[in-house]
Amino acid sequence: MLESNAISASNISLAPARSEPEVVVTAKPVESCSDEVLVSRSRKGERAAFEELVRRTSRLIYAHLLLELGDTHRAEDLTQETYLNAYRAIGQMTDAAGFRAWLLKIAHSVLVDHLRRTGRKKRAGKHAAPEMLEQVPDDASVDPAAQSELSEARARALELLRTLPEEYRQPLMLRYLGGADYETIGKQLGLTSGSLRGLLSRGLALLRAEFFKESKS
Amino acid sequence: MKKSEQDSDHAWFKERIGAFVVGALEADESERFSAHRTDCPECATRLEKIERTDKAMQDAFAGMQPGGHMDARIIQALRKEDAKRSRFSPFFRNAAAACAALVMCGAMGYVIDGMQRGKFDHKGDTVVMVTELARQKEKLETTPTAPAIPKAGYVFTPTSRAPTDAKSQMTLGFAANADPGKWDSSGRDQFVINNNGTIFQKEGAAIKTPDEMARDFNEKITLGGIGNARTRDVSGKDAINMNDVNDVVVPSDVLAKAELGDHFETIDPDKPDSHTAQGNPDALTFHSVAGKEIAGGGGSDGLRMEDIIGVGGQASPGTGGGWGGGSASYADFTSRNGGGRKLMVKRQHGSEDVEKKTDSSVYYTYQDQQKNAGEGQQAQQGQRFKPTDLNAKKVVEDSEAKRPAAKTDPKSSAGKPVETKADGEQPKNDPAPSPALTAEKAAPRFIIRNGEMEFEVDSFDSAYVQISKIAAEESGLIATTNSEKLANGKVRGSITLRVPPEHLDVLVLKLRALGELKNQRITSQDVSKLYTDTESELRAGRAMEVRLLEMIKTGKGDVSDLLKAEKELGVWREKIEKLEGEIRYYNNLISLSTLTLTLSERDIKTPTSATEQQTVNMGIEIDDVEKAYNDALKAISELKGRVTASELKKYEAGQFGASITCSITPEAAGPLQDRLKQLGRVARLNVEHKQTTLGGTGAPAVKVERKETEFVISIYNLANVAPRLTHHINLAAADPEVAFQAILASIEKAGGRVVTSALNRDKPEQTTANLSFEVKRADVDAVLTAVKSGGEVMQLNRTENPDTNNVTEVKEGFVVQIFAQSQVPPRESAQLQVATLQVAESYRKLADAVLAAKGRVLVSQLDEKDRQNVVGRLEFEIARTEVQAIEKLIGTLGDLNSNAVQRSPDTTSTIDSKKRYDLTLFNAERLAPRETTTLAIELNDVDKAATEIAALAVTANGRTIESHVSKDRSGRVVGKVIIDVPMSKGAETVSAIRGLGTLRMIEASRNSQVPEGQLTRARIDITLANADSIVPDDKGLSTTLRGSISTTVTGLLWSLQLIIVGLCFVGPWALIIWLVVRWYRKSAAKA
Repeated sequence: MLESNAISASNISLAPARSEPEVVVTAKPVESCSDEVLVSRSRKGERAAFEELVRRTSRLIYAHLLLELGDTHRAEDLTQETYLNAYRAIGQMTDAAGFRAWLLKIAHSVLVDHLRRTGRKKRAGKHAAPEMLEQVPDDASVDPAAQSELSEARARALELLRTLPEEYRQPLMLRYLGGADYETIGKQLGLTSGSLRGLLSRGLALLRAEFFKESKS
Repeated sequence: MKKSEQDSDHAWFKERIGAFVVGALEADESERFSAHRTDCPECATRLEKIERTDKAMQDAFAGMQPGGHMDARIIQALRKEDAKRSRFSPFFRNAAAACAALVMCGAMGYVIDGMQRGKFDHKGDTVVMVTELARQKEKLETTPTAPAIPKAGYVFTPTSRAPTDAKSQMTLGFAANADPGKWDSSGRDQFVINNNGTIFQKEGAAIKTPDEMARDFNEKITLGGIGNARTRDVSGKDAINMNDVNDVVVPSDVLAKAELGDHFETIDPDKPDSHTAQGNPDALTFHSVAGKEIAGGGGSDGLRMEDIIGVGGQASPGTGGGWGGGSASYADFTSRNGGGRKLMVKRQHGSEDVEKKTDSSVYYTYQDQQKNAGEGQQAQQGQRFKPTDLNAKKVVEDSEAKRPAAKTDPKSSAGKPVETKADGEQPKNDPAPSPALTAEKAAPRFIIRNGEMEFEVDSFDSAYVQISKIAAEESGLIATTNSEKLANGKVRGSITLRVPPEHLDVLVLKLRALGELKNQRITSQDVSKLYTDTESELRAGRAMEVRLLEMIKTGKGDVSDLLKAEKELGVWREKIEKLEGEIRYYNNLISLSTLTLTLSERDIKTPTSATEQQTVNMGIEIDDVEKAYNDALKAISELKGRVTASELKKYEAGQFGASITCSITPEAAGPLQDRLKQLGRVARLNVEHKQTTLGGTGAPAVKVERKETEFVISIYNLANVAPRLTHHINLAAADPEVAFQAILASIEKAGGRVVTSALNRDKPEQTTANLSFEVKRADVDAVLTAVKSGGEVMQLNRTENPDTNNVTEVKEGFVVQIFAQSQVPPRESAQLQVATLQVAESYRKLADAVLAAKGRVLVSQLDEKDRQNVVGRLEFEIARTEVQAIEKLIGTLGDLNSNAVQRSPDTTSTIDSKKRYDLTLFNAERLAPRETTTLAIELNDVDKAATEIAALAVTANGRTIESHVSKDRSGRVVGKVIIDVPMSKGAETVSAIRGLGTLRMIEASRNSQVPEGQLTRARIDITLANADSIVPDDKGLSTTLRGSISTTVTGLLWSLQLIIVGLCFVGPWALIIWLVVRWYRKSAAKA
């Protein structure tokens, strides 16, 4: 399905696209810049800066979308769409510090658009519910009973995550859905290690409480 | 303390649970964390619970984490997007697409617009058809065996097979003996080309050339015959096998054998053929063709082929009773045909074996068919069809066979009487062989020939001698003659000649030498029938006579029978006699022609005697009628004349009239005439000679007898006779009454006669008089002078009455009308307009002068209401003599602005002795300026300059009309000053003004309407300004801008219009397509 698997990240960085516009040569490599600097450079049309921003935020957006959708492929597609939209609109962004919030807003609108589209499609009866479909694995050897159990667990887990307040939800979301480690979570959320630590711990505690409350009931 | 330490440791632990679970604890922290975990069971439980939760969550979301490639993919997509965006922004792309769509719409609109204007052009179609025709034609003509083609016609048939569309089909037939008028109602347009290549069209519509027809109908060229043209069932019954009948394509080898009159048709042996040749008696060929046809020709009832060919025969399958029909057998169509021949052509879509079969006998000739025709022809009982070419021979033979038979009969019977005649009592005048008749040897004719001729000869007797000689030569005789001698000694007569008919023509020729042939007539009368009838009767009668004689001779039977026979014999003999007489009479007439000659001698109309008579008609004017009457009578009696009537009458108004009618010897006529002329003035004399001849016209041969001259004399006086000449005079007199009296006095003096006179005197000024009188000619001049001296003659006409019986020249008439001079309008009138400085004063001066000159004032008014515009008007008449003085006075009053003098063309009712003036005086101030000078001067102090100009005007004796100065914010000061100065000071003033500043513009114009005079003014219009604008208003940037915008808007509107047209064209389609797509989607969704 995804034949673009072949293209690796390193590959891209090595091959400078011919059509690439004049690269703004800056003293600092993008990796070492702060988010704000990257945003402002992106706004000047420097794609490398934006790419760095993508790397720094993509999992957050993905996780966010996945949480809403429950479908990995769709979430990935919408993530891409979100970034395309963001890239097109980066010039209009004003608050460099609120980049993530802005991005999430875009993601949300992309999601809403998507739901509207699929909703229309649903009404037209073209597809079955995507949430049901995406659970069916490609591998037919998997036990259907276990599979249904898994999907049930997933739905419950998603529901759990959704119940959490935003600030606690984001790190956990990144962990479970974004597959991010501690450092990555910090980077994705633009948080310091200390503040993340607290958020994570409290989040987990909340999650545990919810989890057990639910399992009890 | 422990507790608090414990608590802080708890908090620390709690704080780091997350980091621990995530695996992000530092090494030192990890130690402390583990220590606390072991120490504090509560925390351990909590951690354990959290770990379980974490584990459950991790499990639940296993495999949902994004791969490392997600970032790469996003970045890849971004780069693609970037590349795309760098080329065209989406906005730009959309805009470009919109533009393209608009341009497309516009272009479409343009095309549609063009179409609507020029409609659609179908030129291409025609070209294709013509080419097709040309190609096929070429094919036919290049065939080596083609020479027969020109004889044949083309059949152009549309391939459409719909039989209902018969009207649109067209067939050209071979027109062997085609009479295009006879093509009948087969219901379609027919065109015929005959062997001359002429094209006939059925309805007499415009004749088309083959090319034109082909253009109309060309899809396939087919050669066909008239048979084809007939194949539509005229009866309306549907024929079975005819729909495709026109789809004939003739192979060229068959075509080569074609002759005029042949026809081609399709055959389909699988079906019975029901072609009917009905309705076309001229058709040369009939046929019945089909593999399984029921019968050949023949039969008379029904409408099938077999019923129609031939009439009277029975429907006889197998024997074909048709006209020239063959003895048809079912299988062999070659022996099935009627007269003429037919070229069989297979139909294109026949079955294969059928084609083979028909191919073998595709062509056959008339001769072949003739062999089979014998029986059929004999069986035929009536001829229904007109024989044509091929049948004509038969008919000719028939008629030849019949004719000899017909001839023998009259010959045998007519031969006899000729012989009888030869034996008979008639002289040897063979009636038969007259040159005119020799040609018709076989049928002797009995013809009576007669003639009449009329001659004018010198002498009847010598002509008679000559005639008898010629008659003898031509074995003729003079039958009768009669002549008559006329009073003038000329002879007229007629001679009847009898001559053998064969000599008649020679005789006529010879007789022509007699004299001048006036008239000739030769007649002939055919009595053959009468003659032969009579002969037959005679023969029968003779036979009867012989039998009766035999009966009597044998003496058999009763006496009564014998008596009866005798009696009968008598009757028959009488009959025979009568018939013989008739025969003899005819023989006589036939054997001898009668020629009647009418002769008359030349100059047969010469008169025998002549008389001459003179009539004199005289009219004498004289004062003393009675005396003249007596004198005339006396003179007549002296000259021994005979008075047949005379009278003397007195009428009213002293009018006398006398008339005398008398006869007198011609010798005395002249003296009498002279004597009568001396009596008075001869007003009228009419002498008439008349000669009368007797017994003919022309110059009389004898002496003319002169009869007595007859006089008709009338004597009358002139008292009541109108004068020939009348003077009509209109007089304008100062005092009409005086003139009237003077004229009356002069009439009296001249001894004239006043007929009427009247004097009307209402007011002294309006007196009129009229007079009508007559005076002797001698006194006319004197009276005329008197009349003219009475006043001014306005009109003098002399009218002369027509010179008839009732007018005289001895006296002249006058009709005089006298008018008062003041009542008559003057001939000359002048309209003057005078510009003066002092209107009222001038007016009074002039009015006084008119009165002093004894002029007559008609209108006088002075309008002083408006002091600025005082106008005086004076209309007056004055005598010619005073004109000069008055005009001089007017000249001093002021300037003559306009002077229109009018002389009336009417000379009869106007007088020249006075002149009328219509004079208007007006203020010279109101006079328009003669010259206008417009100046534009640029200077610094406008106000000062304006003041200076006003001062200049005053010094020049002029005035200031207008003066104002305007200033605007920009500091520009503009002054406008208009002044009037006397013309003479104009130039001077202008030059003074020019000196005030820089002259920017000067323009002078003259008003040619205004006359030049003392009071003429020059106007100076000065514009003063302190600066001038650099760019004129009409050449600014805004003008250019406006022009450009206007052009742009025009273009925009034009393209908008085109786009709208295009949209109107595309829009409905888009809507339809959209609806269809929607419907399709919906239905697909339902499915």
